[in-house]
Amino acid sequence: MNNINNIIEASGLHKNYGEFKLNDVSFNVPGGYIMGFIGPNGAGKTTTLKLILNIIKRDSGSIKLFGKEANLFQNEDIGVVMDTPMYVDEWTVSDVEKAISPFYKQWDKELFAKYTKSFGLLPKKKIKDLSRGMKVKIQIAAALSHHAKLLILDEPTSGLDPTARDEICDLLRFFVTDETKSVLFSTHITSDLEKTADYIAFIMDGMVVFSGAKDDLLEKYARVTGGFSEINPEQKKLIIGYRAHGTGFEGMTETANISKFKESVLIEKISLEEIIIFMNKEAKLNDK
Amino acid sequence: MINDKLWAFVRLDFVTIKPYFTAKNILIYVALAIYMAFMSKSIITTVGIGLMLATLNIGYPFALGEKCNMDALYIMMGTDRKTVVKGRYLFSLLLNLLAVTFTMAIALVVLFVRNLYDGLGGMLVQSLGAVLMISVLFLMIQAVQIPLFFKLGYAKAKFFSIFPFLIVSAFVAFVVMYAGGDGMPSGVNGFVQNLFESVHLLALGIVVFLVLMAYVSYRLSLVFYRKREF
Repeated sequence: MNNINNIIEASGLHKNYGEFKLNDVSFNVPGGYIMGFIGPNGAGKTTTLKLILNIIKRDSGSIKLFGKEANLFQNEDIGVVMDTPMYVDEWTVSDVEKAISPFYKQWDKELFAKYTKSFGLLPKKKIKDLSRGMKVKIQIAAALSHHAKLLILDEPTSGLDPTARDEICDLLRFFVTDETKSVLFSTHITSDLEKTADYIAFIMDGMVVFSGAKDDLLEKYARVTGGFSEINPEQKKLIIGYRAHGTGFEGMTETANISKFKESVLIEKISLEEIIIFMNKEAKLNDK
Repeated sequence: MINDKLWAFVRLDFVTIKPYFTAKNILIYVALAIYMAFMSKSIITTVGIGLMLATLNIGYPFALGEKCNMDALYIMMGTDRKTVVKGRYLFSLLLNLLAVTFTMAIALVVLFVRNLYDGLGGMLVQSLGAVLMISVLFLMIQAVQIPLFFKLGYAKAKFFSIFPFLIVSAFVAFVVMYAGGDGMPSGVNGFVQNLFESVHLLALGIVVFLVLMAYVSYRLSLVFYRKREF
């Protein structure tokens, strides 16, 4: 993914908080694509997003945005959507525009009116009275109204019903039809990423364990299940996130290792959610 | 040169506190100013109330900013920390000017209606010096409060922000009791007497003091705010 069309190029990012550190985080987000940013709670997703947005200072490493060394003023080209908007609860929808539009040279008043109308956001409605889905939508309306080239979303779909999540995923897919635009989408809801993401960056304990095409990740691992008698200790070592239950075991393995198991062991396609679960399980097993 | 982001920030601060300026609140402020002007028959007391309210309102962008994590929002909108600090001081200055203009106008009207002065010009001349002095006192309070808010955030600094009120009140009491009296060392006493006798010297002293105070306050705020992470 090293090409000039990368919208984000994060390389060797370090940030030390003492009890937690981000360690050598590197990934690229190419133009025209959606990258899902996944990992368990506390893995370092939000810290990484804050580094990209210059909200916190990195200890080392580099971030390039739109091919240039990242600086604060490039944030004008970034639309940010958080799970909760950083707007005053008492503001109305039109107050949001009054407050933030002067910060953007490319603010498009008509576009904001168009999006708020299509999202059903009434100008006099207060932020505190909006549903969670609507709170996400007003941020998306704001992000799109200043012609952002990059959308950074931090858990925007958590707590939303499937219809609202689907609408947001549709919007993101439409956004990247322009190949000069990209989306970095951090979420726990991996089913949204299965539908929308082209690339995945998977972070665990402050380190990126995979960064690449989503299909490559899904093809890299496979789900393994079987009875206890079907594996020997050597084969057990090949299983990531090994979990024993009443009738046997389950876990995942690298597809390159599939031939090392007996034919009676059940090998299946794996989902993103299962990859996170088994990776997390493996990390905990290693900690013991 | 004031850049676009700085004005955008000042405007944002006004939009942030807008929910507090409801028709009911404005009516209360006006009624309070009229009442003070009627009861005290003094412009300085009325303006003092206005400045007191302005001082309280200056804390609101910090309070709401902290509640809604707006410090991160400022950065997300490409605003550097220096602009945030400058903008907050500019917002405070404008709020003070609004408060002084608003309460002074109310006091002048009330006192004029009550025929306490011969004419508008006379009233203005007689009260301008006093208004200036009370404005300096409130600016002193704010100059200490604002860096505290930038360093600790509103919730933690709220308690400590009472101290500037106490310190300035003690300072005023000290000056009122001892200025020109025997309780002060003769050198200081002479200097204070000269200061109050010469209008030009006093004006110059105030201007130098205000500029120095604002500069130190601003620099401290900037140093504190640059160290904070959101």
